[in-house]
Amino acid sequence: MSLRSRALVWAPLLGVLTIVVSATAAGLYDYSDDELSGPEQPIEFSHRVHATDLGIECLYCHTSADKSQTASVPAVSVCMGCHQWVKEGSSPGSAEEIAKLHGYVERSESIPWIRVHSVPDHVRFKHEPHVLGGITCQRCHGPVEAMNRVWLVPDTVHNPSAAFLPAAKLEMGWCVDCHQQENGPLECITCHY
Amino acid sequence: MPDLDRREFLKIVGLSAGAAATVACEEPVQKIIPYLNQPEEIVPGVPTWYASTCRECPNACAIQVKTREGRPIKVEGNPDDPVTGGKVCVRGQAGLYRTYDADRFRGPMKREGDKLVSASWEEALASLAGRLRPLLDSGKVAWLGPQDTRVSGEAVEAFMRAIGGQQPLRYEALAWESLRSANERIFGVDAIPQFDFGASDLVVSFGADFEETWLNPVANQRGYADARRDGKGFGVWVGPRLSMTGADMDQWIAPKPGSEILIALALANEVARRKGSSLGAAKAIISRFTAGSVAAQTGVEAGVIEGLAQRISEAAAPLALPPGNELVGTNGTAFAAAVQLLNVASGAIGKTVRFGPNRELGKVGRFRNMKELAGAMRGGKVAVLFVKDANPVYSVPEAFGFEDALEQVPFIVSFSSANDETTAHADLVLPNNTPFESWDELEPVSGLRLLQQPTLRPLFDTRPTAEVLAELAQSVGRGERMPSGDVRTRIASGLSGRLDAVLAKGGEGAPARTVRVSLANDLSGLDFSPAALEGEGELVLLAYPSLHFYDGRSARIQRLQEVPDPVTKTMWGSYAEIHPDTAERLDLERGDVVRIRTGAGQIELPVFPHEAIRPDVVAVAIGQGHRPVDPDPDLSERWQNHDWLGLADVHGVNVLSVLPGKIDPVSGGLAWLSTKAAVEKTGERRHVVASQGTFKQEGRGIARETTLAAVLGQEPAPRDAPELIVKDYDPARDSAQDSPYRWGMSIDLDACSGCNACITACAQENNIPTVGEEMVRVGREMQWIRLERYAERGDDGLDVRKAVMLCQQCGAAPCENVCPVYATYHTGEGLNAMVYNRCIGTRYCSNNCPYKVRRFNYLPYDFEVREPVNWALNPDVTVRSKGVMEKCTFCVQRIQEQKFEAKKAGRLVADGDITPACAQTCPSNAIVFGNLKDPASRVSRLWQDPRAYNALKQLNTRPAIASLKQIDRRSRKAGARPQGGDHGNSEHS
Repeated sequence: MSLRSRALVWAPLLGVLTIVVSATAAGLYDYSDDELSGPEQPIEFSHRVHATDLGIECLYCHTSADKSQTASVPAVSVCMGCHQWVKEGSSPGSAEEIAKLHGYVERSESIPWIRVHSVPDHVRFKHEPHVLGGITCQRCHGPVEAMNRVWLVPDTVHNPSAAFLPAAKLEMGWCVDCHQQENGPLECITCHY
Repeated sequence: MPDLDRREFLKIVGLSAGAAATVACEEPVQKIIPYLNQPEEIVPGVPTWYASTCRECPNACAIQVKTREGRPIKVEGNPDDPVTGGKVCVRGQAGLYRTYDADRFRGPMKREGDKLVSASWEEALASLAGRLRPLLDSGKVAWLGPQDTRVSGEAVEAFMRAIGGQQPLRYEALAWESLRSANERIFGVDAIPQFDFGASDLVVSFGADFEETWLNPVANQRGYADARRDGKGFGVWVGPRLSMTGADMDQWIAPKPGSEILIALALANEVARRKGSSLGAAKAIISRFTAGSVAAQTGVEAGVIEGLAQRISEAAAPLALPPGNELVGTNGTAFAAAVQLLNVASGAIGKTVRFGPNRELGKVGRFRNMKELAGAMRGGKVAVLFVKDANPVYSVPEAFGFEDALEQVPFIVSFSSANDETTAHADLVLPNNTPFESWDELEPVSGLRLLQQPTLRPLFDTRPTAEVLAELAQSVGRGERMPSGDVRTRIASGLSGRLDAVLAKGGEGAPARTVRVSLANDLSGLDFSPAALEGEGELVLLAYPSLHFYDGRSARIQRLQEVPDPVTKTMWGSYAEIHPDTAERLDLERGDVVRIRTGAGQIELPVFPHEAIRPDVVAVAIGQGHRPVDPDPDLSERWQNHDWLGLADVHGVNVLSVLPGKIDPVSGGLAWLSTKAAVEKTGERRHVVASQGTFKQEGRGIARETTLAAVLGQEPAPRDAPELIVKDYDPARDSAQDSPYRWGMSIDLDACSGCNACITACAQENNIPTVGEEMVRVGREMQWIRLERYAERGDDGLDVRKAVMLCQQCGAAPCENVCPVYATYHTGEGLNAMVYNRCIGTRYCSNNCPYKVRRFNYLPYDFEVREPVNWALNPDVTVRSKGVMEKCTFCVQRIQEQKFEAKKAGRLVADGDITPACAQTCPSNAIVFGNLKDPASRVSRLWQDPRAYNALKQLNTRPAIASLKQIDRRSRKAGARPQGGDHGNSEHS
């Protein structure tokens, strides 16, 4: 193969490659704003305000975490338990956000929250055994009580050396590490059936 | 173009692909939509159960409906039902698909030219009211519906009275008219009594398929199986074709077709003589019939009849079953009367045949009324016809001309929730909610009231017919004549307890007490001669009701199309069953298409030769051959991309179309057994779609048998399987040493009837796809349970056996050794686990499985295509994707759930905590699941039964399933019968 034809192939490919690699690397090494602060939700709900400032227990809203496989996102009626009276909070901009909530109620619509924590369809994860087993919410979800928007914390990545891979979040090796430490069941069919 | 060498090319391609993959890793945005107002009884992720009533056939069994987040996903029997005891049949298990039916009407429809187009309720009701106003009190409005529920039925009656229309006609294709008329003649009661199988030690069935469609098959099967435990009881099948029910009995008597009545008469006479029973006026008539006198006409040796008569006389609680639909001819009433006389002679009346707890089904109209209605329609006496959930265009023989008569009616209104042959004639469709969406109340048996409550909100723009009628009456100015209050209030007003309390149980009351009946014995005009068989041809045409489709109403449920027929093991079609000798004589082979010609018409279908039928009979199941009707052209376009289901195809033929439509003059019922048929070879061939290729075991000893004497320890068990090859083997490998459990199962093949309920229950629970005729034809069926049937001609008659084949969860599983990726492996609790996400689809495991119970997803049989079919999916079980192997898991989701419940309570799983879906629904209670490491568990004790064996044990696979051998029917016949008697409890129906 002649040098010229080599260059002919490699030059454009290298160009493309450089762009792709630098673009992904930027995305991989530096968490984007979105990733560090979580996706923008239909209502700018702050866990920090509710869980830390107001001291509301996780289970007050995520009622079924200790009795069902799903922790459950509270029904709009649960929000309204307080917010039919509370129309403005302490933080700036809270009045507009609470007004959005009232908007949903008036339109009889549910709130289309963006899912942050998800496992694939072939995993049967259950909250109840974990909560009853004394595993704190933060162990998997990170310090949600300190977050405004919820985001997937890098701690949940299994392999520290591969910590830059966003696809590795909530992945199996990380579950298994904990199951090994905490004497959880290790059978495949604990989660896969 | 520069020349690249291969290595360099791959490098470049690999790099680019890697880059592309990294970029494409972004996951799609998923949303969480919480409740607006959380319903109090729902915890997301936890199932909610509602008690309701199954409406798949007129028998109405109490059910419990499992719902998740407001969607019903599974039906199970309600254990509080005194009649069925918490069991559901094959049709009931698939009943959800009538609601999750992509073909349902999405709202009202009106006719425009030759098409039905969408309309609004206001428009539809206004146009109907306009049409009804000039017809008020004219008597020119008619109603045709099925056996109805109480509230809905009352609304119909009231509406027709209010507008001055005709008396509503309640039509059922299977209506047991001859039995009712016979009871009226002999006992003076026009009713269908209870037949108490649980209390009977000897059942003689005259073609009554009591485990398939005959009255309440679930209750019948449950009682029959109970009474037969441990080799007790004896069953005799009289009929030309050994049906699934027949094969579950011990003796087969096959008289010449049509002459079965003579056997009943001779038995009645012989038994009356032996027992000295009084038959009153009937004695003079039946004394003409003796075993000897009917032998020639029936072709049954006198000795056989006498032997049976002797057996009946000696039995503690014998029961003879009046003719099943397939044997009802123009002499139907006389035949049923003869059987009831046999029951009088044997002392069964009041004991195993009990009047009082009568069936609601005994109150529907007779087939004769359809003739009258057709006459009225032809004579222009019907200006508006209302049709609800009845499909006479399909179920009335074509010779009757019902469809022509229907075309004479100027305006037809249908309340059906999905299109069918009759609704296709409608000018207006006002779709009703399905039973899973509505309130109502039923009384299937006098005294027992069952409630039906909605388990989901109406999926589409449909309305309850009772409310539509009230609104119509209002708009024509007759509103005050309709019952007041909504459906719920009307249900509550009829109950003795509070609605909530009754709802929690599913119903109230119990079957009424038995009342005494005395002999009326009006036998005038009854013709005690064999059924008249008209027409040319050398074979008798036997049309029989179908286990899966009942009278044809369930044929639209794809799930049921794909469950193999209990006798022929065929799917997705109709087959002409003939005897192999007949096939040879006519030069026919399996799959040859024949033309069956009667005086009324002809049908073409492939033949299926098998042993369990008389050589002079050709049998075809009813229920198939529906014309395709498509309410929504958009949907059918979408399905063309997924045509493996063959949604637009016609499956099978409608055998009713070639019946001559004769009527039994006494009862007014349809004569089913009424014609001969000419069978001609067409030269065409068609594939036989079946789950089983042969009915021969070839000495492999899969379905094994023992004798009653061996069970009682009086003789050694017969050897009918290869000897075990003894090898050193470590049983510790079955499950981990420190595990308290090894899950195992036992299946009593003597109790199993082969009714297929387990297959459908399993499919519902485990999200098993329906794959369609094309896929099944090439051997890609997906059901996890296979009911094998073997029928071999032995020295003394036909030897029919069955085996239930599902994953044996082997201790030394051949599949595990060959999986290259550890996708199937042995768990500490002895389960042979299948991890779908590890599977790469080599199919080595399936090839190495000696039981052939593994199923492979050749295509993405995704449920999404046909919304709302996917709504029935169980969210606790992964939906498998293309290229993944699957198989029975012992319902591991139920195991995990119960293990966790036990852990919370700080105990081990107790015996009986875990019930897999198959065991839960089995009406015979043949399947028991439990812990083999617990010597006290039911399953461990059953493993110690002398009848227990492991299938193909000689391969050293160490299965976790033991089958209990069938008890040789001939050995039951030969005596050694333990004392039978009142083993059932009187609650059984």
